[in-house]
Amino acid sequence: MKHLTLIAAAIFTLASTARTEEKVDYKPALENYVKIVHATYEDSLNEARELKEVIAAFVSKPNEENLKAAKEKWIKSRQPYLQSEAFRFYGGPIDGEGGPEALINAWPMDESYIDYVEGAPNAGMINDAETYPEITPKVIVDLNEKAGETAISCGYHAIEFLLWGQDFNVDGPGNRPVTDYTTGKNADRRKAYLQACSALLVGHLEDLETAWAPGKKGNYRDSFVNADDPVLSMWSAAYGAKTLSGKELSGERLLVAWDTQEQEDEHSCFSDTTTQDAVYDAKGVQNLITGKYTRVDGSVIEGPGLFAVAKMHDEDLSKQISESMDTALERVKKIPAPFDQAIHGDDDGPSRKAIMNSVETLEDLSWLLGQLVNKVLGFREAPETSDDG
Amino acid sequence: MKMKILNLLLLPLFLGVAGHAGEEHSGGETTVFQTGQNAYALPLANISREKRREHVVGNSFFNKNWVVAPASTSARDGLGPLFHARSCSECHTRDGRAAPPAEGELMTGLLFRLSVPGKGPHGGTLPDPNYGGQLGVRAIPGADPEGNVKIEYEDLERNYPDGTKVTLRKPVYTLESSGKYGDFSPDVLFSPRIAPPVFGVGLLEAISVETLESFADPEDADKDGISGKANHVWHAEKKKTMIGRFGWKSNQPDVRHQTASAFLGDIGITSSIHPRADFSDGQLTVLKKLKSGLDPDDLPELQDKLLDRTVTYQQTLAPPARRDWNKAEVVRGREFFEKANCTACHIPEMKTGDFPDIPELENQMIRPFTDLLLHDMGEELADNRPDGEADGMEWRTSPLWGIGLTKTVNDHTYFLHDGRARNLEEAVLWHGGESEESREFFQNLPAEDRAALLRFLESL
Repeated sequence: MKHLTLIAAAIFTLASTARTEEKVDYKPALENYVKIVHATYEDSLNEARELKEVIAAFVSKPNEENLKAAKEKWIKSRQPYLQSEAFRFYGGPIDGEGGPEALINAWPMDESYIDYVEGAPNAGMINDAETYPEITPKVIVDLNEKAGETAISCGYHAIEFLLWGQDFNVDGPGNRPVTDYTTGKNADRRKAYLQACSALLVGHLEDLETAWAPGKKGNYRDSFVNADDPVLSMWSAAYGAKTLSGKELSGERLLVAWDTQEQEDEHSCFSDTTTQDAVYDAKGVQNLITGKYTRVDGSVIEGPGLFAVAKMHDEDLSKQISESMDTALERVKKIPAPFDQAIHGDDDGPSRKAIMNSVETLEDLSWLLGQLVNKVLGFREAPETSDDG
Repeated sequence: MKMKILNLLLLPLFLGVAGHAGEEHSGGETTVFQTGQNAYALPLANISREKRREHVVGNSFFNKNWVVAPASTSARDGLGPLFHARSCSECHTRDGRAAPPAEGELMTGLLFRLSVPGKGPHGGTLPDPNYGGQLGVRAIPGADPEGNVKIEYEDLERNYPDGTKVTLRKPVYTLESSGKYGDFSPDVLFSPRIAPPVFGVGLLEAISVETLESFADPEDADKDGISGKANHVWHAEKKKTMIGRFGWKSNQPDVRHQTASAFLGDIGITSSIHPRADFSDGQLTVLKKLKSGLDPDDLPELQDKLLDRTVTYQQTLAPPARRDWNKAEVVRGREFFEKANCTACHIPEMKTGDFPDIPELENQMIRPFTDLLLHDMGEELADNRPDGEADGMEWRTSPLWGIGLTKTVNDHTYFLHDGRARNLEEAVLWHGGESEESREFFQNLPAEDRAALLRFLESL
């Protein structure tokens, strides 16, 4: 009889746990999540449109001042986009099937497919008028579709390369001469490439903005927030934050460069703005945890975030996530720029230590967010796209 | 009284599982339990934080594209000048298995080894005088590919005694030169190789030489018709001959050597192990103007540390656990697998030995279903191209762990060395030579028992 009672008790426990988990109402958090996602992409889009204008102005009147303006706008336009990287990794509009991630932010980049590089003055599509008589957005997109054969790059880092050029300076970024756009060889084709990239970037961000826009029946936002299965949507939101914090930012972006000490094994290598990349990626995670996003115009979107979701499951966990996030952002901000210099020196030296401290805290944060991901899933199996060890 | 009945009822629940203790743990304590598309891409379940970091860095170099030199990302440039793919993961997608090219598609996960009859200085193959040891089907700007291979398929009947008809597809390959590097040698030999999964390779490397040799029976002393034979191959870094473990003909001694060879042959990246591209003089004249590891004064394109990390990454990829291993049909299928004597080569279980670099891999009871040895697989599968001690009829026993997740991870079910089998059943039916009797046993089973055996394979 004892056995039966134990089994019955076990079954009862399972059933009641499952019932408690069903009671967790994710709807308010999901409503707030999609607002943040949309606002972040809308900001990215607006910034990209302004970047396109500034680039058009530079191209029509190429001089030092206009080049500087374009570079400054590029740096600023990256800020909302970097925060949007927290919406990756679960097969959503950005990196699901046919998603534009590789066209927006591909790295590393075959720069010699685009333009001349040190030691190869005639390299790239810009200097190959015979094969590519015209440079248009369509030509670039068509070439990209031939996967594995050519890799003509577009996106932020292509624009970055065309504005800064290769970085051979210890103390600063690349220093592409403005004559590349005036008297230099193939200046007009270079202008065309730069403009094509900025137009493509706007187009790809428009697609993302539309996918997450409110009030559009049947778009991704609609299916995400009104899903029959809100657990899956909640999982996506938490999993994206977890993966950006851990595998991507802590691993791919910081640890790899820390480990290889390769001067240019960094993401924004032409402009030397990799530390900004790290800070705004971390902010992207923070936005999702706090449920609060400060828009480019200063207005604020606020509501329940992953902290609130964690609190519904486990108050202790929510506190740990919050503390870990604060520490992580604080530490990431302390990584000294330029990043390509910070990776050098002794492991105990201030700059390498600053990077390793960030790596460690982001790993911890990712682990804690993984606990949240598990709580959201409950007894269910992880979705196919999950790659947790 | 009541209690006794209850106990009897519960007994089968706890003890009634037929089969083998712990058999679902394909990699012992390293086993991971995810069943989705990243099932092959996970670090060892027992990995330390420190090793995990090396794994993460290696993962980056396994997945990210190599770019044409010179580029700002100098740790990641040097692609080509001839190459097959831009990254490891382009062929070993999600650390899994490649498919042969679809009609009209340029091959990526399938490559062709080239050689001429005879043996090289360390018993290895002799490259084609004009084209080297591997056909380069892609080239960076400024260079030309070496050529391509035309693939056609012929029907091959393999009907069951019970009347069920099966038609296999037999590939016919024709080498085609791009015309830029002269002619192929008139007696050129070539062999297709598909990119295999890379998880679990650390555990396979951690099996002791003694264990592998205990599986071997080159003269078939036990007269069971099966004569497992080890390949012995030259290790260019250790400068000695070692037992072969990896590659379709066990022609690679360890993961490190395999990886450096793939970097060179498949991506065109030189390393300290292979500091020089193996181009013919004629090719060098054509290609040397390109900055891509061809100048004898160049440093290797791949730094040692990055090679280390890429190797550690693969060594610390875990094998996935079995699914449905205790379902009745699967248990029955396993019995047929044993009765058919498939286990003579696909050895189910063994223990790893010492592996000081990665203690996580040591002394694990693993279930890879391989002996890593060479076996005559019959006329129909033969590539007729010797490779070290492997003759033109022999192939290495492929590990079977994880094979049931191929569809989930890689979205196809093409198997064998060139992906000719379109599913597991066809793969079984291609078995000949030493495995002929096993295949005939399978063919003679009633349909439902054949299905059970295939269900067993899917559970791996």
